[in-house]
Formats: sequence, C-alpha cells, structure tokens
Amino acid sequence: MAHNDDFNVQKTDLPDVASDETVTRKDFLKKAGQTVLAGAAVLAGSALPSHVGADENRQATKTLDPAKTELDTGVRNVYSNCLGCDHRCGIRVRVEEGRITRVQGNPYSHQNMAFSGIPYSTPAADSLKHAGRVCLKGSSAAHVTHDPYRILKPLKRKGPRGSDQWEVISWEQMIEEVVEGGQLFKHLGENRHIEGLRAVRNTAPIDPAQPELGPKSNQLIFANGGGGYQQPRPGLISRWTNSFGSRNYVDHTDACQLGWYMGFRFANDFKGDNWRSDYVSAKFVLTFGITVFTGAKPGLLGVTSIATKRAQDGELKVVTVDPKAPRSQLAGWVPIKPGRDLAFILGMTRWMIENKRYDTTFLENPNEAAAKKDKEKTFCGATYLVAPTEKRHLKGKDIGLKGADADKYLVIDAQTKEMKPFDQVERGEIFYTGEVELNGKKVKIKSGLTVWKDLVFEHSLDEYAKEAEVPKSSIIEMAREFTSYGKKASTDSYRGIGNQPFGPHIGWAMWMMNNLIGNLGHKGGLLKTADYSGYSKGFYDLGKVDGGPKLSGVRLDRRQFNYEDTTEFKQLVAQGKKPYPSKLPWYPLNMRGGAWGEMFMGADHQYPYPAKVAITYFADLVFNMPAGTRFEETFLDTEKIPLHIAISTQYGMTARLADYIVPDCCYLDGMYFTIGYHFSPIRANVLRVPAVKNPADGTLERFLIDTAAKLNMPGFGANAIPDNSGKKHPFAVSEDYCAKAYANIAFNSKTPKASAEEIAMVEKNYICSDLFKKALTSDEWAHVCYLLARGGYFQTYDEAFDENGLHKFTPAMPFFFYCDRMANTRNPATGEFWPDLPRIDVPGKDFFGKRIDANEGKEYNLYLDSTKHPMMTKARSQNFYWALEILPENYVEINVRDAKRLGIKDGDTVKVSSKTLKKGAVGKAKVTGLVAEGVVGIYHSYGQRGYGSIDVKIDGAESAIQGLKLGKWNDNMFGKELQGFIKGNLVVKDTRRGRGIFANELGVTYDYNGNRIMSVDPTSGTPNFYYHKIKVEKV
Amino acid sequence: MQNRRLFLKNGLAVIAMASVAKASLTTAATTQTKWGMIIDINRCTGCQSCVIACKAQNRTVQDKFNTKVQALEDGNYPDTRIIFTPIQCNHCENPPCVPACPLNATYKMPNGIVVTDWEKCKSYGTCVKACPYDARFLDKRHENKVDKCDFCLDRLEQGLLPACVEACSSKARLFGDMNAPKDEFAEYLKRRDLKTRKPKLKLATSVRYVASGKGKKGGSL
Repeated sequence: MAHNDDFNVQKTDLPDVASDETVTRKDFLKKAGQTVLAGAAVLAGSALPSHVGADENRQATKTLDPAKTELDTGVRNVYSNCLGCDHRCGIRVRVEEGRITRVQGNPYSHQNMAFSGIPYSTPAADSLKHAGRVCLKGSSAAHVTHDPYRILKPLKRKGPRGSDQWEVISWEQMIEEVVEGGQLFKHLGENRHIEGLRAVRNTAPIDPAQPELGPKSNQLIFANGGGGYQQPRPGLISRWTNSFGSRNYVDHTDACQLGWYMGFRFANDFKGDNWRSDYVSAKFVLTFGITVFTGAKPGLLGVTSIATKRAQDGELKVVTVDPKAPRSQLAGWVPIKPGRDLAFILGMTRWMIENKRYDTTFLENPNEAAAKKDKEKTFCGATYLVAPTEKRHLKGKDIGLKGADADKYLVIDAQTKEMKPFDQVERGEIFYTGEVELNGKKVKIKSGLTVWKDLVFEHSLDEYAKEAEVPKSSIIEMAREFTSYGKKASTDSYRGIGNQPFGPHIGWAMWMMNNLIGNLGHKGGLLKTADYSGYSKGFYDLGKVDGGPKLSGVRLDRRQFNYEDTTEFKQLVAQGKKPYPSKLPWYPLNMRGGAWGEMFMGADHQYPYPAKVAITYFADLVFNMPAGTRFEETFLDTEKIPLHIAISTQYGMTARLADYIVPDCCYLDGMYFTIGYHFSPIRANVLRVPAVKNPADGTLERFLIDTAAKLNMPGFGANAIPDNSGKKHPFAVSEDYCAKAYANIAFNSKTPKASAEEIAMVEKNYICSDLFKKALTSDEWAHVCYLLARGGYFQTYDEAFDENGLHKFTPAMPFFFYCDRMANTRNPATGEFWPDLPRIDVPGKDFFGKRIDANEGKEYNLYLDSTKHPMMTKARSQNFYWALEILPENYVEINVRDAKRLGIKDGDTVKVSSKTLKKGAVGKAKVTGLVAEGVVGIYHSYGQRGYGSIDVKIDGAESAIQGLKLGKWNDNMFGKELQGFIKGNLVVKDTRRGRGIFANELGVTYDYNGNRIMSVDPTSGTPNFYYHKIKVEKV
Repeated sequence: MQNRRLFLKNGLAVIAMASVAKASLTTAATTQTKWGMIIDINRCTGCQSCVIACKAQNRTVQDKFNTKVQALEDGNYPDTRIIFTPIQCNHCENPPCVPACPLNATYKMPNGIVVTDWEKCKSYGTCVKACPYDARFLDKRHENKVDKCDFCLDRLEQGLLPACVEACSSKARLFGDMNAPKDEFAEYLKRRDLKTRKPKLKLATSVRYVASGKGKKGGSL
C-alpha cells in the first residue's frame, strides 16, 4: 500500500517538501544534466523547432484510456441526487457500459453552483455544456454501487450470532421465516422458539397491569439508520410500522444532530428547528462546534463554495470557535475545549447587553403585527413576563384575565406601563422587574430579557474567560464583531454544539445571541431551511392508509413520555418507595425524529418492555455511536434481541450481528429521494433516480411489500394508493409509489410538460422510465419528465426573499428567554427539575450532576474530539478507495503543547485509552497546532471492524457477494489487490479497509441505577459525541 | 530512433542544448488559444474534490495522481492555520520534460499543453526525472508509459472544462484561454501578484498561483 506523503500535513518547522528547497541545487543540476543530454537527442532527431515550447505539426494524443465525457456518444447522463453524505446535492451521473464512471454536480442545482445555477427553463440538452461542483464523496458513488464486497443475496446466519458465518437463502425462504418465526436456528443447536412478525403483530397489551406500554406489536422495533428525511424511504418504513402497529420506528436523528435541534426547541417552545446562517449575504458568521469548510452540513458545496469566495473578496468574515481549526485560511479560529463554548457565549452576551449592542426595536415587538410594521419577519419573548420562582411565564389568568386572554403571555406596555396580553401591545418593556400576587403570595416577575440579563450578569467577563479558557479579549472582539454588521451577522452551528451533555442548553444560549440582534428571517441573517414541493398529495394520496391498527403505548426509547406518568412510578410512590432514579432515563422533551441509541438501550435492559424483533436498515449504530460497541453486548444476547433482521448492502458492524441480512439497492441503483437540500435557504426538490440497475436480489421496499402481503397489512399491494378520483392503484414495486410521488411534486411545483425531445432523452437515459410510465398517465409522465430531465425542481436564491429582504420560509416563530416546559420537566434520575437556564456550570454533566471530567478521573486528562473527515461519511466510506489512496488511515492529532508535555513526537506510535477502553487503541501521533490544547482529534470512519475489513464465511459467497464485475474498470477503481478475494465460501478481507483507529470505542459509558448506559445529553437522550476524556501515551 | 541514439554518443549535445535554451526565451506572439490555469491558494479547503474528479475522468492508475493537494501547517499555536496548495503539471513554456525524452514522445502543443505521444513512448522515464514538479509518473497498467495532467484535453476539445476545475468546491481553480480570457479568469489574469511554483527555477508556466495572503510562506509554492 503506497502512502501518499504528499497529502500529509507538512510543518513549517520541518523540512518542507513542498517548498523549492525540495529540489536541491544538486538535484536540479542532476536533472538538468539529463535534460541537456535528452534535449540534444530531440534536436538531432527531428526538424529543429523554432520553439521547444510548442510543436505545431503534431496532433494531440489523449493519454491512456480516460472515461468518456458527458458529450461523447455511448454514455448515459442521468440527473440524480447524492447520498455520499446527507446534504442532498444534485448530481449528474455518467454511465458507460453499465458502469458509473463519473459524477458531476447538477448545473440546475443552486447548491452545486454557488447559488447561481443555470436557469430552470434551460433545455436539458444544453445543460450538458455546464457542470456543477461535486465533492469527493459524491465522486465516489461508483465505489458504493460497484463495491466488490456488496451483499447481493439474502443471508441467514450459519453459526452463533456475530460469528461471521452465513449461508445464502432464497428471498422467499427469508420472508417466510421472518414472518412465521419458529425454531429458526434449531440446526445450529439453538433450542428457542423465535416469534416471527406474525406472532408479534398482536393487539393484546404487553402487560395489562401497565396499560401505557401499549400492544404487543410495539415489540417490533425498526431503526432507520438513513437520514430521517431521506424521503420517501423513512415515510415508507413508518407506513409499514404504522400498518404493523408499532410505535417503535426511529431514525438516526440522535446520532446526527438531535441535540442541536433541541437547542432550538428550548428557545421556541418546541415548535421548530433548523435555522442556519445565510452565507450568500452575511457579513459576519461566527461558527460554534462546526468547521464549515470541512464539509459540515450543508456541505462543501452548500456553504464552502460561496463562503470562500465572499470571504476572500472581503465581503464576509468567518470565525470558528471549535476544538479544531477550520480547513480554510480565510476563517479565523478561536480554539476551545468541549463544553466551554457556553461560557464564551454567556460572556459575549454579557458584553452585548452591557454595551447595549442589541436591536431594541426588534426586541420590543411582542407580536407579529407589531413586527410587520417594522419590516420584521418575526418577534420574540424579550418583553414577556416570567415568574422565575414559579418556573414559568406569567399568563393572563394570573391577573384575572378570562376567555381567550387567559392563556396569553403578558407584557408591560412601554407607553402606558400597563400589564397586558402580548397581542394587545405595540411595544413592550424589554427590561422590567416587578411583583404580582399569585395565589395569595407576592411573586417577583421579570421581563424575558431581564431574566437573561440577570443570568449573564451572574459572572464577570473575567470569570467567563477563565471558564472558557479563552482570552477575555477574544470574547470582546467576537461580541463586537457580531454586533457590528446589523442583521447581517449570525452564529452558525450544528451537531458539534448540540451532541454533548446539556448541548441543547448551550444551543439555546447561542440562538438567543441571534435573537438579540434580531437577525431571524433577514437576508444575511439566520434563516430557516426552505421547504419543498410536497410529494404525498397532488395527483395521488400517498399518505392515506385505511384500516391499520390503532397506535398506542410508550416508545422503547422512552421519549415524549414522563416517567411520572408510568404505572411503575405510581406504584413505587403508592408503596412509599423512592421512585428515583428510574430504571433507565425517560425523555419527555425529545420532540424530534428519534433516539435509536436509546431504543436499543431500552432493548438491552428490556425496559420498559422487551423487544422481540429488531429490524435495522442502513444502520450501523455499533460503529457510529459513541461507545457504540456497548451495543455488541445487546445484539449478541438472543434474549434481548430474539430476532435481528438487517437490511443492508454492506457487512457493517451492526449487520454483522444480525440473524438475517436483506440485500438492498444503493442510492444510485434504486433508492429514490423526493425532497430538498438538507439545509438551504432556497426551495428545491432534488430528485433521485437510479443510474444503473440494482444488482442485488432485493430492496427495502420489496421486503416491506412482501412481508405486508403475508401479514395482510394495509398500505401495500393491490389497491394501496388512491388517486384524486378515488380510484385505487397498486403498490407492488417501489416505482408504483415513487413515480406517483414525483407526479405529485410536478403537480405542486406547477412544472410544465417536457418537450418531445426531453421525453425522448429521459426515456433513453433513465432506466426507471418503463416502470414510471406504467405507474402514471402519459400526461403525468410528461410533467415528471420535465423534473427528471433537470434533476428536480429548483427555485433561485432571489425567489426566497420578499421585497423587504425577508425570507419567505422563515416563520414568525418567537424565540423565548425562558422555557416553561423544560423548566418544569424532572430529571428522571433525581426527581429535580432540569436547570431552567443555560448556566455556566451546566455542560459536561451526567444525570446526577457530576461532570464527566470528575467521573473519569484525573488520569484521563485530554478531551477526545472525533469528527468527520471531509472525504468520509460515518460508517459508509471505507469503500471510497480513491479517498483511501489519499488518506489510508487516520491518526491521533495532538496539540504541540500537550505533545511536548507528554514527550510525543510527530509520527510516534501512541496508545489512546479511556475508562471504558482501558486496554486502549493504538495509532500514529500527528503533532499539530490545528487542534486546541487539551484536545485530541481522531477522525471517524476509520478502524472499522466490518465493511470488508474482516473475513466472512458465506456458503454461496460467489453469488452472495458482488465481486469484481467491472472488467477493465476495476484497475483504477479497486485495484488488483482484490483479485480472487472470494475463495470458496471465504470472503477474504481487504486490508486497505478499516485501517487506523476506531475512536468511538473510547467513548464514555457510565452507571445509571446499576445499569451501564452510554453517555447522553440527559435532557433529550442525544448521544454524547463530543465530551469524552482519554489519555494518550507513547508506546 | 537509431540516429538519435547515435547522436547521444556524439559530443554535440551541449551545443545543441544551448541553442534550445536561447530559442525558448522568446515566446512567439500568437492569437491562437493558449490554455491557462490560475490556482488561488487562499480559496482551497483541501477537500480533494479535484483530485478525485481527475482520477475518475482520466482513470489514473492506482496510487498515482495527476493533481494532488499539499497541506502546510502555518504559524505557531494558537495562531495556526492550514494552507492547501493544489499541485500538478504546470505546462511549462519551456518544459524540461520535452527535451528529456530521447524519443521525442513528449511535446508541447501550440495551445500550451504538454502531452505525450503514446505511440512513441517507450517507458524510459527520463521525462519523469526531468520534471522539476514531480508531475509525471509511469503507469504500470500500460507498459509503464508515462502519464500526467493534460488539462483534460478531450474535454477542452468539446468545449468542456477540465474535471478538476468544474469539480472544485471553492472555485480555487480558474481556467481559460489566456489569449482571450473571460469572466473571473480574466480578472485574475490581470493580477500582478501571480506566481509560479518553485519560483527559483524561473520557469514560465501555464499554471499560475495566487499565494496565500495569511501564510508566512504563501503556501507550498
């Protein structure tokens, strides 16, 4: 394996191979000497050219054997949507001889064109003369589809779970067995009756004594590891789980950005999330816990493309507050340790309030009508009165108001100084402290902004600087910058700030800084992600399913339910026993997509009820979750997971622990996608269609449809999809649904019909055409062709704003300085209320208020920061062979000062260990000034034990595994190394995959009421990704 | 071929070379297309997008690259930054690789692109050693013949951009006809601070750089 040292970071204090010293004088003379001799030969052998620089008489000979271009004959160009990560960029896929040869950006897609795509009406044929940008992950699509290790057949395990022994079975046998259950592994000596889907689909209660647990059908748990909004697949899975009767559908939101979403939800009474900076028009963006130039959402294309140009032209200033330096010299950097950003934010906020650097007009508006008069998109809770001792806002009924006014927030009218409902005041007092009588006692009340002011004044700037371990001058400088550009400044962030203990509190504090400058909904400020044309309604009703069972019961991940409402709690109280701590935490505040980590933690402890069948799709929580190897114990225990079906194209670390593996399509051979970019201020539907044929014997959809048919579940099969006239259509293949989804998008986007030329082009190039035409009327097909020929529906940046520069998609949704619901929710471990405000001492703590630093002890004195490399996406990139040529393995990035203290030199072999993984993991040290002092950086995606990096035995391996099918294309895609890697029933690992160090294994686990759980944000169950303690030793 | 080898043995080489050097100092005025690339180091975020777009388009042999991105850590912590410098064949005005080939297989086209005649290349590797930028390599799949960047000549001929240029996520690579520049490339071409890599070599090249404004060394130039 060649190492490409040129790609490694060079140090200024080391011999710089890149500088002109590389070629020493001596070297150069030597080379020049060769030149002299060889040059003579040229002159002697041919007519003397007047100028060596150019030879007029020779035609170009293109080197080697390149891929054909998009304009060559013999290629198909297909507009589609990327899933190299989940940013959902538009792509153009080139196919030659059935192989994906090249992926380009879709030029219609503004995200791929730095927000200036070609006009939507451009004829598709002309669009081939343009190309959008694409990142390395997108360029690696061929490796995903054509991966020699890809699983193509249904597999059944042929040894104990996790023993890497399998056999190929037929699709029909697999469906039969998982539906009917029985003694499925008797031949392996497992004497246990496994309940199949049919037996589990039972409306009887799990436990009549605990009715809140719901029906037995809840014991089917389904984890969608793909993006929660990679529609339509998540929608199809929940269509199936709804029909089945289980509430236990979860997506991967907790592993993605749940804590970040929760920060918004604390700010806006749990109503919405996903506001980001407008990099197209902003003048200043301060990023927390995100280095946008690394490919953080919305990706290299979504942000970097525009931010780099504007930053260089002096139009935009970007500063990153993060443990790792931004991968752009154009951005400033404030190095900071995990969790300390809260002190930084509170310090900034204090300075802003002290120096009156806020937008008084915006803050004084108590309602939408008042905001509108000031050309504001939204308003906020700065004037709303709070009774802090009562842990809530004051409401109309508190002062005797009745009817509709009883539940309204109250404000002090700035003119009359009267206390009135928020909607009956034009301007409110932003700073107010007073008293009211509540239930006969005097209670102190404060305006929202006063609550916040008192919070940030609890500490001096010096104290904040000390806690943040950042110079006070940095805090002041950032606060001054942040308030120097009017509304064209904002903070940007993502999972880095949210996915740690009490990350939502930190996020809340950060959003409120934006609120102080009133940037929400303004061009250049903070914008909510735009919507997209709906796919479930239009010509067809894809949402409606009649005749399913009633869903009820608590979820196994214990979200959206109070522990205090359980029978268990009530019984403990009735028996006079101490109800706290609960057996496992409950997460009533988690109002987002799901917590698959907590679902499997529930399965692990069979609490609040045992799971019977687990289906994992596109899911590798063992590799992707911090301390995810904890779940190996869960899956290896057949009592805890009696039946595990993994729907996966790859033998990942979670699929490895299955009983059955269901093969699936990859994103460019059958996985459709209907909605917009993951974050973008502009409206789009970036549609995905297959570029090549699915080589696998099955898909997720086929699994859902075939099991539904056996179980007679509504929503699938014949007469499953009604059209507007009430006529019902079949849902027998994926395209029956997806073609109709695209027709609905065309309907809702009002796109015209495609020209005859474009229809012909689509039919010639898009392999889904036949199935789509069967599922649609010819009229609908013509509309859909207009979409497909352009890769979707795209509005422009300008279309996203009204004449006042207000963002159409940002709602008038107020942000509050007090969160009643959170403040009144109890910690399930102690029975105490959660910290009602984001105080300086909140981050990094467990359920019992103990800081992880103290839990782990002084020995583990460095923080671990495991981030994504811009070339990799979580568990699914170890087949990006081109990326592996560039970076074959990860390394242990350690700050120069820490390295000096520890006697570690660049390139040393080091052992990294934690309290959870005392034996540690070994990697190579990279001594750097690009990671904060006290923090160690280890890129994720490496060190995987699966995904082609381990040997696997499969009876029928030749048919089960894709193998090298690319002929001449193999040489630069996969290399000769893989020739003959399937030896009989043995699939031999590729030593290029899974190299390096597996950082998540080092993650913190801790004891909770006698149960070993993974570290989370206690308020939401968001896995703690960014607050872990380790030590590093030289080996 | 025979003749050329004979010539090598004769003592005329040095004289001949001298005349080449002299001739190459004057660049003939021309109105024909002259392809050029300007790489703005400030914009590069080291995403490797160009490296892989190139690899896919040109089907480059494993572990070799027509273009790479070098990373340089600049400054002392906490005043540290990373500076990325995309590197590749610079398409020299007077390319040392051309006379290095005893078979006349490597040559420069009037449009400035240095290419190899695969019919003539016999895998001697003299051009690989002669290139001061280490931009050439041998392809084991094709009898060790030489490969390197050709600005995606086949794409240019169809009016398309080189793969690395169109893929670049931060538009760090500007490309165009230096004799008829347009748009942002034209603006860049007017700049007086454009640099060549390894400036001490004093080679004029069709690939030029905007050095890092923040880095102490301006990047890996």
